Amino acid sequence: MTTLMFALIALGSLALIFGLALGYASIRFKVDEDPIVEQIDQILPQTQCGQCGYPGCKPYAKAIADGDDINKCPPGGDATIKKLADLLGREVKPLNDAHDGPDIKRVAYIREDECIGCTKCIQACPVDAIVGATRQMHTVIADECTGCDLCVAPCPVDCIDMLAVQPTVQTWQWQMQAIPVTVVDAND
Amino acid sequence: MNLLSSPFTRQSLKTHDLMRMVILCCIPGILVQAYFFGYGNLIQIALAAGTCWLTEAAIMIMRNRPALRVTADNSALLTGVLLGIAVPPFLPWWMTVIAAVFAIAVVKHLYGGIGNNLFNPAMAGYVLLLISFPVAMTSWQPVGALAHHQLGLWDSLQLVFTGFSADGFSLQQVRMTIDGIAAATPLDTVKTDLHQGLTLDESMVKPVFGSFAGAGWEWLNLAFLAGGLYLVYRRVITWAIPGGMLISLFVCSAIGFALQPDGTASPMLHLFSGATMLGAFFIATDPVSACTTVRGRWIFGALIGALVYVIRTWGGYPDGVAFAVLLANMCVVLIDHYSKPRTYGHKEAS
Amino acid sequence: MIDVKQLLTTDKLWDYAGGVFPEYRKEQSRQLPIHSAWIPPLVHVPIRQHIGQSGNLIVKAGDQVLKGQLLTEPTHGMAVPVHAPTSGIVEAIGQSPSNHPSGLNEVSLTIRTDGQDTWCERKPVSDASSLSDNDLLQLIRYAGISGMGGAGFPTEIKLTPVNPIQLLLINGAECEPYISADDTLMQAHADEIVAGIELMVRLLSNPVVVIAIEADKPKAIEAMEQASANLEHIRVRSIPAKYPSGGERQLIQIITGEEVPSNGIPADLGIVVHNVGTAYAVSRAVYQDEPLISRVVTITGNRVLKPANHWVLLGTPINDLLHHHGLDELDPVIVGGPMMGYQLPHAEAPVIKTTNCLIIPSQDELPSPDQQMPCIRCGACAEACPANLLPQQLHWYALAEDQDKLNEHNLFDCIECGACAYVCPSEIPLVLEYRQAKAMIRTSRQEQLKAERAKQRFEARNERLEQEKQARAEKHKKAAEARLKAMADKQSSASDKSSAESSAKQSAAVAAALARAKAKKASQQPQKTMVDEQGQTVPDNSDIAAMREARKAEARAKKAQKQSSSSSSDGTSDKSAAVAAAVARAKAKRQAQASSNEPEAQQPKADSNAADDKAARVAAAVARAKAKRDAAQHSDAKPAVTASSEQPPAADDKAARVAAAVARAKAKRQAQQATDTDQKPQPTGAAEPAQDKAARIAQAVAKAKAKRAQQAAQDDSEQ
Repeated sequence: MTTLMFALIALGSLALIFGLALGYASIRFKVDEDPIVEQIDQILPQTQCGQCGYPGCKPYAKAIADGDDINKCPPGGDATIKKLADLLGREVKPLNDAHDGPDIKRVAYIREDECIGCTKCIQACPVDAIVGATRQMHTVIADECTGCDLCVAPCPVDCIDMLAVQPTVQTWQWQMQAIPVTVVDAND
Repeated sequence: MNLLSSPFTRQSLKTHDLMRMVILCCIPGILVQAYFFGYGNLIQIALAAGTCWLTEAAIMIMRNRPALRVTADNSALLTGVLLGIAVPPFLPWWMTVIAAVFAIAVVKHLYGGIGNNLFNPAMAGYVLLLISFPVAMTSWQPVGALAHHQLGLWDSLQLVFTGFSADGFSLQQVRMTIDGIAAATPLDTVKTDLHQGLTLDESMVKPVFGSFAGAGWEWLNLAFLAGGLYLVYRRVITWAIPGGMLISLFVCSAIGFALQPDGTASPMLHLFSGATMLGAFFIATDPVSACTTVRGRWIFGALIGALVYVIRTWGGYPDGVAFAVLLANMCVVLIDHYSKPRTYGHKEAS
Repeated sequence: MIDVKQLLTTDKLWDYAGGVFPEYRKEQSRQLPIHSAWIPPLVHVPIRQHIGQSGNLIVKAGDQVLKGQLLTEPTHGMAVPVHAPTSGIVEAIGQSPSNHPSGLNEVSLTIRTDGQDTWCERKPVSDASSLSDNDLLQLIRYAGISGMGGAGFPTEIKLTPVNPIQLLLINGAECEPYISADDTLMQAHADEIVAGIELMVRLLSNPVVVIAIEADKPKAIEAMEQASANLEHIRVRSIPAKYPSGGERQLIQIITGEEVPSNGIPADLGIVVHNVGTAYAVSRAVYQDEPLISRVVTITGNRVLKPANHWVLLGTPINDLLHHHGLDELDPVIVGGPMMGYQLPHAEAPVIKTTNCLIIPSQDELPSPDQQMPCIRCGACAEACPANLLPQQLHWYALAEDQDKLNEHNLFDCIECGACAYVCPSEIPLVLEYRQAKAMIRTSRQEQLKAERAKQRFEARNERLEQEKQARAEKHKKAAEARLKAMADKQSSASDKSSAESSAKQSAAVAAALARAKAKKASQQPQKTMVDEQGQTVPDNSDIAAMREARKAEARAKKAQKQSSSSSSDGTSDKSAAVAAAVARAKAKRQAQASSNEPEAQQPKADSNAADDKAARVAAAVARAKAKRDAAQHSDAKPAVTASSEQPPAADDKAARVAAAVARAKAKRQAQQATDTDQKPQPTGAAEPAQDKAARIAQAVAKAKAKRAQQAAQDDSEQ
């Protein structure tokens, strides 16, 4: 009987001690905000394009943290899906929206002589990468454009094109076997 | 136009040249071995090298690679040659074949082929046999002069392929020395004798010992040392691994010998017995399964040397080079990780 | 810090890790003389030939230029100008193949030479001590001098260091095989090089100078020693021939034993390294007023009959140059040395400031690698690496694109010297792998930065929109309050002014109506989304989703429209209706904006004023857009439904406003001149700008009506 009592007391006190330790730890080392959302947001490409069905990258990050699929981000492509899968320990899935063509970086370009200065694209741009004023010609700051194509639809005159970013000498990736061969006139 | 990247000039020593050079440098050792132990190892070398080459070619075909071109890198041949040198001369042929197939198919290609194997294929094959057939694998022939039976080529072939010589002697009978006792290698003899309480000096007077180490074995080791030095001279291998291994083995055995002069083998005996020199210059230096950093190679070599000493002195087997190499292979990643050289410009702030 | 004074006396040289000993093959070309320049019929001068940005173009196509004339102006820090290498006419300014391993096009000036080689006006300085430091620097800057050794860093910037410089290291090592341009330059122009060094010494406030030359150039060493014999602060050092001793960081290690910190520059150690060619260019720029328009180029290789060094005008097309030297088959041409150079994708690329060597090898001279074999981890690369890297590990990580591991193994300390690939027995193109890996990491870093910036901008924008919304609400509230107050005041003080009262009432009513409309709209919004969102889980995204959906539908409709030919009459009516709608919409919107603080009477005027010269273009553009939308609605029923799920409420709201505006405008107009606008048929063409203000307004009103009728009909048909 006494043995049993001792065992119970020992177990009970152990439970108490661990309980206190855990309780203390949960207060002392409390994590203020769910950092997983921040981490997911870090991985997302921040194009704010809304192609995932959420108004921006942060909301999608929240949704992923709440269990939404990780394969809804076309601008990020497979690389982002892989990173998310790594972070969250989920299965890598193919992109849900099999969108047209391969992943080429694009930026918006406004054909300036056709622009009527309606400011609709400025309002649509999630990152304020379009400058211009009412009835003034608009233009895209190519460096800031995320290629989300949200400005294309609102344009009443369809003067916005999404152009593929051309490689330059500076951005060339040393793809030795993929050098575009140009035909140059010998007399030129 | 097929554009190439710099550099446009390259030194001429290619992988297959390296492998061929290593094989050629084995030749002095092989000849000495044949002189002292008969034709047995020549047969084993041919058998093992042939099996390795065929296995590699077969696997290459299975993996849809051009078999002839890929096997031309000589790496499978080298594995076979080393295996053939390492096994006892009159090992039944099927054991050699098993080891060779295992070395190439399992140890090398199941890990991804050349460049990807974790373990030294020849030594892994050797250890497979050593664990599976310990008696056969430790049944070394007595040195020619001591042997009761002198075996010709035909006898040797019969012995390897049928188990009996042309005169009908079994392997165990053939192994009889002129004294009528089954031969043991010098290391085996020392180990057994010391175990039985004899002193080293008492043991060393036995006929199996030569002038400073085992009779015949000392010359064998010297021959491999010569071949190895040539490899170092030609920059096919670097100093680090053999240097590390020999120094470490010497230091360990010297300490042991100093502490207990009667109870342990002398440094000389360690350095020139068994597979020490073969291991140091030809086996441990297998680039794929060894360390790649300079410091790491010294550590790797030293580890092998220490392990060889430990196994020879306290282990269950008379020689320990194969085990030591495999154990060190396991540590390669760790050693490499901690022996990264300091990159230019990354000096600690002084 | 290093003891620089000791460097002038010590015999000690340090060694760096690794290095290789390739066959040097310099004997073919190192003999003097340096052949003088040939003037090609055309030169292509790229406007950027260094590290940094290009200057601003100051000539245009068709201009006559003289030799040495400035073509671009260095307007900002890292810009280096380019000059006309000979006299001629600027034929074109456009894209032409660059002298770069990618062969991508770059902006270049094409000059048709006239063969006269007429110099522009020059002002040589005979006594540099008469110039201030600043003038001297400006001279160097405007002479377009950038590092001649390979990287092409602007020289002027290197001559204005932040840290005090104790040691000026002149790099004459030229460790790459084949190249002997610096060798011959030192042999032929040692005095001028030393004069250039003296100018640099002055600008760097008297550092000690060490000229490092590899021991296999005895003539160059001798020439330089003679030229600097009576200068005590200059010492010529012969260093062992080993590749890559000419690398800046390796050279510093050889001479001083110090290592340049990984992320630092030599100036952090108080050292500046300049190439001998740069020193020569500085001297020419100051004492001859000759900008950098030509350089020594080694033309060598087994297919070259007489390998030699030539002065070559910058911009000379390489294929023309080699044709001039009797070479027809130009594949391959290697620019630079065989260790670090690159194969030229397009032989019409020009010689630029950093081009020191052209190799035209025979087939067996620089054989292409037989067959890449798997890495056997032999470690030869690690022994050869002058930066003490582990190329074999980098190789694995580069293949795996493991950026963390690549950084951990200091990929960016790789100087791409090629020693590892040179010794690799498996013939693995290691340098290419590292270059690709570096490019990949750089790109992803940039993307990361861009994503971070996009995020900040997005958040800033959201904040701004929120603030604007609040500000607007505040303003409306205040305006309404003010109006109510004014009304109350008027009612109490002057009850006899009935007209004023009525107008006040009216404005109050308008305000109230607007408020109601807004409220209605606000209430509609959530309602709509709720209806739309029944199937969906998250309500937030409905707008974006709907918009995207609409766009997709539109695109589909566009395609459909292209295929099916609609009747012309239908098309025109659509179009005119669309024009009407557009104009009316614009008017309504403006009116809604104005109505809160402007009297109604001014509305039409404001409208007409606002409709300016752009009207025609606007109308045309809007018409196109509208026609597109209408066509989409007509031709494809399904997308029309999805699109309309969003549009009708908005259209209703808009229609109401339009109606109000039109009614007001009509009343006003009728009172003024009573034109029978109602009876007027459909407008003839939207693109035609109406001259008469009144007529235009009338037209617009008519259009609006037509549009409304059409919309109503549409709504009916849809419901």
